[in-house]
Amino acid sequence: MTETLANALLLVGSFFCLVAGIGVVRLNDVFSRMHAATKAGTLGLALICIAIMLLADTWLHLAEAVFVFLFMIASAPVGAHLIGRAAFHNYQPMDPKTQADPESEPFRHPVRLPDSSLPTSELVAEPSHKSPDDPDNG
Amino acid sequence: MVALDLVSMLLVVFLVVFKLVSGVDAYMYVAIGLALIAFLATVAFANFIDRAEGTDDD
Repeated sequence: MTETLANALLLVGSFFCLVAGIGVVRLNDVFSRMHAATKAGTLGLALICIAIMLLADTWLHLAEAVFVFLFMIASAPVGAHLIGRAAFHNYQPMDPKTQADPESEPFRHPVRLPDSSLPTSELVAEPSHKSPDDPDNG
Repeated sequence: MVALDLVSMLLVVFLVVFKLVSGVDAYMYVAIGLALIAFLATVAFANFIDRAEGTDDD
């Protein structure tokens, strides 16, 4: 029973680690990548550490797994906060779909990446919603 | 930068799982040490980037 539970936790944890890796490859800006890496990666590590705790045969092995678990749970948000702070201070561009929390303190407009989600043919067919003789339209 | 953080976390996961597979206790100590050093590396690197104003570095 314990082994079955530990095996299931190992599988689910490695699935979440895979999701974290795919998220870092596929998402567009630093902040979304950080969201994928920190949350999914920490969840995967936590599940795998719980599996190790279930399979531990001595108290020392249990204590080591608990230490890795607690330390990564404590240090991953701190590291992600520092990375996000450094990225925001250095004007890292934000994807157009990335939104700031509306209740957060508005102290600077974020730098935006160009909107890559629109296909170029659509951009050519409908240049903008402004009138064509608007001098700003270009 | 984010990927460095994720790679160090996945290395810790790999070492923990490899300890389970091989049964060698030393891998667990390596995982603990790597977790400590990875956190220090993240903090130090974020501080360096934060200090270097206007650079284009992620």
